[in-house]
Amino acid sequence: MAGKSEILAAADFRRMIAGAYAAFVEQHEAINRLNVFPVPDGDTGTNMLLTLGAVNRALGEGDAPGIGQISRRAADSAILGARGNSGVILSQLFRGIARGLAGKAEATSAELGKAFQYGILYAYRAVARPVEGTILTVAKGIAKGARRAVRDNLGFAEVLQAAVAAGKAELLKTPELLPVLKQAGVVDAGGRGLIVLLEGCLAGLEGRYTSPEADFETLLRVPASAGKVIISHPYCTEFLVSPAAVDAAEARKQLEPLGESLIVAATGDVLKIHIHTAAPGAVLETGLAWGQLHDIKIDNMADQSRASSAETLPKAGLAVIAVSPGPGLTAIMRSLGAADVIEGGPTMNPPVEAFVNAVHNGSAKRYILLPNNANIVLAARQAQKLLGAQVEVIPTKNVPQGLAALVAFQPDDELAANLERMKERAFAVRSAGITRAVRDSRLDGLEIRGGQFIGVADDKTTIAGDDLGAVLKTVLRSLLRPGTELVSLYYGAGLDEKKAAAVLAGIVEDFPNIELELYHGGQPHYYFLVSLE
Amino acid sequence: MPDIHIVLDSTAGVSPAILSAYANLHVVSLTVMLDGQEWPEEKIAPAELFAAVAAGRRHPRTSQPSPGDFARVAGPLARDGNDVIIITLSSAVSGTLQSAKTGASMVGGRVWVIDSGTTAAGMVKMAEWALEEAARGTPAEKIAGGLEARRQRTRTMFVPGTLEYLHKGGRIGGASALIGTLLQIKPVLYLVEGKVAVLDKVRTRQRAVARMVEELKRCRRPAYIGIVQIEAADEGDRLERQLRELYPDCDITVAAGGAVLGTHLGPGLLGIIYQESLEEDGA
Repeated sequence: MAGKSEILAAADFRRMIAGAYAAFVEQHEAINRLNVFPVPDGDTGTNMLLTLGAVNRALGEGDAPGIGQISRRAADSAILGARGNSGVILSQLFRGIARGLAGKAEATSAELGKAFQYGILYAYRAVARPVEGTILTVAKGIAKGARRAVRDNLGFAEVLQAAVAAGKAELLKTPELLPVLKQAGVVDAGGRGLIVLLEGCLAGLEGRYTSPEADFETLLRVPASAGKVIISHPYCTEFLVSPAAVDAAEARKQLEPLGESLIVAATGDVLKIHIHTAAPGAVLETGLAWGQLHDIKIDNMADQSRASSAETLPKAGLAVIAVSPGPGLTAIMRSLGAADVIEGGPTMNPPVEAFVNAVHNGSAKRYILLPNNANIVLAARQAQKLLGAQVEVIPTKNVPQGLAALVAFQPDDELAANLERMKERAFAVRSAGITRAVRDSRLDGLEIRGGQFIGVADDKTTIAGDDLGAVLKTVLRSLLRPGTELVSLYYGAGLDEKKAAAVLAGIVEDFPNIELELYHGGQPHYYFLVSLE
Repeated sequence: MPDIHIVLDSTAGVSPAILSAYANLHVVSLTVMLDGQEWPEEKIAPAELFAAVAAGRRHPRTSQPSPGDFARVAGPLARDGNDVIIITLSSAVSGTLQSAKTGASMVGGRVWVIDSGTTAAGMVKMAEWALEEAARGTPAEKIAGGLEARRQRTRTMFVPGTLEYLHKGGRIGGASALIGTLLQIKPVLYLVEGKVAVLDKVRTRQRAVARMVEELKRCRRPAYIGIVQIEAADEGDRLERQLRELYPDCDITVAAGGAVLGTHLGPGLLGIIYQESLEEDGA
């Protein structure tokens, strides 16, 4: 097959995405099961599925004459719809592809191959600390396979096949590179996800896939924060500048004074602008100075939300948006002064969009985001990138860290002072969680049977056992330090106050001179979340 | 030559020894109301108030001295040609300053009214300095200016045992957001222009006290350190020992807060009042 003469258009790209989405509908559970730790946490497969769902949905809307435009739309929707760390990495992959295809109506196989290589490169960069044996190893293999196939002038289907084959070879090596994978007897879940993605693209390109049921993903949707619209800048103004004579940073600087909820997304020399403003004319004039304007859309949001009585308040002050896995914790966070609480946790990572919406709907000028889960940190960081200087992220990896940060928050204090104090307190807390093993496994030299209670202290499994109180006691003991004064326990996973108090009563004598406080957390999967201070 | 007289309000908790040592030192009392009965603050012990609250009786109230109370003390002194300097409890938490000002305007003559910005030991230290300067022949204008400078360098911070009293007494100011938190929080509060404000929030009492000490350590050279406690004598003594080790040459005192502070801050109060040394005080 002569790759040079093969021309790929927007319709082909769309089909590939639809194929990839279908592949994830089928395989996301299998990817979820590649979870290294036997704890119910960040489901890689589900997160990639939901992120791709957002892309698939966006591509189905309206038409896009060129492959460049449609790939950019894919990137934009992935960035907003990204869930969990794997979703964020996927969104960067789409950004790279869009960069490779920018301004193109159609692409040759070689051009598309290069664009995918860009995508792999972007995905690689999205990971703060590259570790071999992860999705990155697989991505490198894929890039290598694709590069060879492109050089040999193959058709795009063959490029994908070569990429998948090379990627699979690397995937099988991941357990050798990363001992935790070997112990758990699995390959890397994110890497497996990349392979599924490319296989799905191939199936889509060749027209062999079945559309998933329309309402499939609504079953999986995580509720985002419901917000009210506060309109001091009623005109939602969106447009593209192409080619743009300025970069995103400069555009942001010039537009910032003209409104709020500003998003500047740059793909190649194309700028996508989204802003809520009181002066759409001034915004368009500003954009005109940078280049030609396209796809101009101006909506009066006051019309849209006329039903609800819109307040007109200027945005002011500093506020915190926190992620909570349960109603009890949500109430605690609100009582501690969180302006908004996004539902989400181990097995329900909220999308980047949830953070973006919470910021847009809020009335503060600046925000501190507390992801409160290791697998939500990247999504919060992604939201920060989209929203710019008005957002800061404290990468809290669990609920106790988030609560410690929130306790230290003072709305009247300076942002920098708050950040310093909140970080210091968050990372001084020792924390643990008690859950049940979802399957048999061997971890850190520990034999764990599925269904046993396991204690995870500071992100490391320390004990497994059949008695909840005994496991809790051992975990607390391992975390005690001289000077520990207070242990706060947040019960969840179906425990009620009576049962939780009974467990606590059984161990209280083992911890003299330490205050044990019991609170309703309401989080799923974790019988207790614990913090020691 | 006319004398300079210093007038304090009763929240200073000035000791009988000092009071009897200086003929030109006077005290005007705030009033505590319990069960419909009024008491000058020095006539009722905080413990009595807490017992009443614990028994479910109505929360006690306090009232600032009337302008007439100040006029009654300052009037005769001023009419005899003396200079009078009135030092009141922080206007952040009391209307005493306003009463004193109105009283002074009724009197006429040479009367200065100074907002201490603090209370308890902070006021006592200001008065002691003013009395020494007066004995040295420093004119009242200059003493008033010096007191103003001291007010600006004085810090008052405290850890209440409970927020209930601040809340019920209506003096909670910037700490109001801490009422109703579902998690147990120990705030470290301080007095700042116009209100009670939050210095920090931590989870345990020990941490809260440590946080005050940390704040104190930011002061290069404290002129004095006054520890105030209400129903927390042991903790007050422990804190004193700790501070004596940190500041072996500093003037450190421990005192029990009176009934007015008790009414507004409740049992378990531990506070630190200190002043940064001024250049003119020398090394």
